[in-house]
Amino acid sequence: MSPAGNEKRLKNRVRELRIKAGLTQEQLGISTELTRQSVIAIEKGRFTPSVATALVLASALATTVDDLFWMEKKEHE
Amino acid sequence: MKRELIVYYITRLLISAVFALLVYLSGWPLWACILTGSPMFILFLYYAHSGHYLVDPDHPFTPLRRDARGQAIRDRSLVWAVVIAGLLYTAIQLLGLFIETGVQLRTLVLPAAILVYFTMTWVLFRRGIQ
Repeated sequence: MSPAGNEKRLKNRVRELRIKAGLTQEQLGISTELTRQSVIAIEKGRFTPSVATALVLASALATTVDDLFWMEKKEHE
Repeated sequence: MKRELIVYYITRLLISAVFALLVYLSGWPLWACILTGSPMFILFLYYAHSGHYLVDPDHPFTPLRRDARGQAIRDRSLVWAVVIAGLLYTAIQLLGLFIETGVQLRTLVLPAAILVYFTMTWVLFRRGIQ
């Protein structure tokens, strides 16, 4: 658990790079052995993929894991 | 409709038809059989096209596969189902110390566990799992 005020959440560019690659969610899922719903969940930040899945996603989108995922500090009101 | 699921469609239609026939042979009227078989086949179709399963064309009779997220959701739902079943059974046993519950209440444990499993699966698929 992070100290108060230092909470971060995982962000990603999966949707952006998928669209740039001209792939549908289903097509990206097939190439990465993920279901369409899992791709949706990853894009919306509802599912954190494993390292292996992140590597496969990055490879399918012709990028690196660092470029695809990053931690962003949560903003508190 | 997907071509690679043709065998799946046919086999699930047959399974639904056989189930409806069993309902009919046990004395229920025709409308009850249709009301039983149709939702079953619709559910089979929904499962195949929900986007929650991968399709493995090498196994035409059982083509649907869960991915890593689906397996994690299945495992967590199973844990919930087992825990709830255990708690419910314990509660019924304790209740039986004070009042006559009979065998009937204990028969609810398995249906309750199945209900919890499918409910948790639905919730986790919708809400997400981390």
